Formats: sequence, structure tokens, C-alpha cells
Amino acid sequence: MERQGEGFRVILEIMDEREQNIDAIHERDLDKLLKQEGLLDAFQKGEIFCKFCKTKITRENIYSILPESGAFNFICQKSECVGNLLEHIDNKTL
Amino acid sequence: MNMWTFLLALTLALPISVVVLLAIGAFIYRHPDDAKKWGAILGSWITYFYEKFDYITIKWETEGRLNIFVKNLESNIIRTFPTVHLQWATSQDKEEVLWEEGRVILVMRDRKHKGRNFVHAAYLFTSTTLLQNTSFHISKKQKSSLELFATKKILEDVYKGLVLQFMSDYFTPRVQSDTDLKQLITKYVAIERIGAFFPILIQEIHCLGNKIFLEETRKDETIAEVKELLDFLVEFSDRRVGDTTVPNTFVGQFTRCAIRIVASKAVRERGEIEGHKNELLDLVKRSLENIYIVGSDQYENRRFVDNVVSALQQDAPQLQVRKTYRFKGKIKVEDKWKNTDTYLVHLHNPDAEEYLLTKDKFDKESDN
Repeated sequence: MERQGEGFRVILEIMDEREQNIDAIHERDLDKLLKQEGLLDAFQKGEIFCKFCKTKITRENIYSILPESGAFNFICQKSECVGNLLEHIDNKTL
Repeated sequence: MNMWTFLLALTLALPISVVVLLAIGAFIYRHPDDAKKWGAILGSWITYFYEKFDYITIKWETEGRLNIFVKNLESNIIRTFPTVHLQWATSQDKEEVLWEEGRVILVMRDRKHKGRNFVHAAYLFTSTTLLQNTSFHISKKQKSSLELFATKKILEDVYKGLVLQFMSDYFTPRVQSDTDLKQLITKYVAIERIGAFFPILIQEIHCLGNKIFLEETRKDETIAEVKELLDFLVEFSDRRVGDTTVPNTFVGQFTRCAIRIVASKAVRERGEIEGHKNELLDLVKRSLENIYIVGSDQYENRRFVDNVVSALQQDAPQLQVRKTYRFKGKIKVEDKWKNTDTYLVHLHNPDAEEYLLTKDKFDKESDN
């Protein structure tokens, strides 16, 4: 019984220490990522487009990057595209 | 007076900062190339620390604000949330960018845009944590509208100054041209008028997200039930004082919750707790996980609700009072809105907690 109580205590401690990470990249490091993944040229030539609305991705309008199925998806900051991304992530976690 | 005596006198006579500046000036004048070299070294150090400081400031600023945002959520619904950390995708030496398959990497602007950085992260958090897994049970429009309204509400409570940023970046562009979203937001405004947006609606949608309907998809039915829940809460929020035609009970088959309005003045004045108690007991027998009792926060009514709850707990001792809320709201008195306070008791039945729901269970309940 005491052992079971100990088990619960450990579980509660683990729950209390749960953490959630939000992955982020500083805009300053964007080139580093693009270069590392061989996408810098395409980005500079304006050949990278938003996953949802197909708008050209620029330094000014980029909202996030989603590495998925061996490719890099880029999402622009249009509210509709951000909404689509949130829905996409939720569907993927199911 | 020789040069050294002159310099000593000067040092004693002038403030130290002026002396240092003069010394640097003299050095630059006499050794311009060395000065450039040292200037470049110093400049690179300043840039290094400035950039490092930028990363730290953005991280702390966003994490600190987000965790206050999370604490605010916890005071409005029954759930604890994890502590949020902003994790830079760059490695320690910043030579490599680390990423994980399927995980979103947010692009953060420099610290001049701290409000924008926070709004982006908060919206992401609301969607991925507060309303996690709900896409399977509610419609696209229901989910988007809840994300938008919930984030706006929390920002209004925690960082009023950032509401405008959120409105212009996300809320207005999404809602302005979408009639469905507008209609749903109108319902949330009405529900929030009685303070039930977070403690009932979001609480139940969040719970729904954690349920799995095993044999078949129930999405159409769950979407319809969420709509019924919204309509019930809206109708209650729009009621006039004394209107007894408004339904006083909602029962959710999929959300597995019930809402009971305890607001009749006549019943309260007669002190008849039996009727409410017995009807609530019937709800308990239907294995509902959460039962919400809502009524006026006037002293007499609050005492009446507490008496109903006590009587109920005597017959159903497994029921736990999860939380009681008292909040400001509005009610219609002869077609005019009047401020009133609402009292809400959230009862939880741990015996009825279920996450894996079978077809048999629903068929059995439908027969009953």
C-alpha cells in the first residue's frame, strides 16, 4: 500500500514538472537554417512559397517552418494560413 | 612643469570618465591602425553580447508572459497546464539549426517586436494545448472561432495592450469576412455575458478532445451536440428575469456533462430543494462526468444552490465539488440589460470518468 502511495507521489511529481517546448528560430538564424538545408538559393530567388496560400515567402512575411515528410514547409503570416497550420497540426497529432 | 606632472594634475582635476576619453583619443591619434584593430575586437564583443542579450530577452519575455497566460487559464478551467519553454532551434554554438520532424518552428522577430512574438506563441499555445485533439470532434469553424475568442479573452485579462496586435494579426482578418465565424463569435459573446465561456464551454470542449469513440467516428453527432450546448447557453444568457419558458437542463451524450439552471425565485422562496435534488440525482445515475449548477449569485440563491448540492452529495457521496465560481454577468430585466452576478458550482463524478467510449455504451444509453 505504501509502495502504491509512493508510486502516485512520483507520478504527481512528474505531472507537476511537465514542460512544453515551443520551438523557435530567431529571424537572424533563418539564413543558417536555409543554407544548412540547401534552400538559401531558392529562398533568395523567391522560389519558396507558403504551404497553404502559395504566396512567395519573404523575410517579412514568414511565420513558421514545418519540417514534414522529409521536406520543409513554410507558412506565411496571413491569419488564414496560420489558422490552416493550427488545424493541420491538430489533425496530425490525432 | 614636465609632461608627467601635467598629466597627474590633469587626472586629479578632471572626472575619471573625461580622463579615460582623453586617453582613448590620444591613443587613436597616435596609433590609428592599432585603434582600428582594437575597435573591431571591441565591436565584435559588443555585437556578441547584444545578440546574446536579444535571444535571452525574447526567450524570457515570451516564456514569462506565456506562463502568466497559462496560470490565467488554470484559474478559469479545471486543468493544470505544463510550464511553457521557448526552445531555440539553434545549437549551443549556433552553428547548426536543430529541428524535429512534424514540429512547428516559430520564426521570432527581434526584441523590438516582443508583443508580436508573444501573440504568435500564445495563439499557437491555445490551439495546440487548450484545444488539443478537438479537431476530431468539432467542426473547423467551431475550432477556429474558439481559438480566436479564447486567445482574445485571455489577452484582455492578462495583457490588454496586446489585444490590438492580436486583433489586427489574426482576429479581424479571419472573422471580418466569414459569416459563420461571426455567428459563432456572437454566441460566445452572449455566453461570456454570463461568465460561462471558460468554466463550462471551454472546459467541456477540452474534455471532449480527450475522448475516443472507439468503433465509429461520431464527428457529425459531436458537432451537433456542441451546437446544442452553445444554443442552450445562449438562450440562458438571453433570458429575461422571471422567464420560465427557457429550458433549465442540458444533457450532453458525448460531452458527458449536464448543466442545470437553478434560478426560480418562487421555488427558492419556498425552500423546495427536493425537486432540483431529485432531477440532479437522475443525471448522476446517467453516468455524466460533470454537472454544472448555475444560478444567481444573490446571497439567498447561493445558499439555496449550496443546500441543493449538500442534499445531492448525501445521496451521491461520490460527487466532488470541483470548483465554485462567482462572476459578474448581465441579465435582461424588461428588455434592458442589468448587471448581475452569477454563481456556478462544478460537480464532478469520478466514477463516471471515461475516455474510451464504445458503440454499445451509446446504444444502451439511447435505449434508456
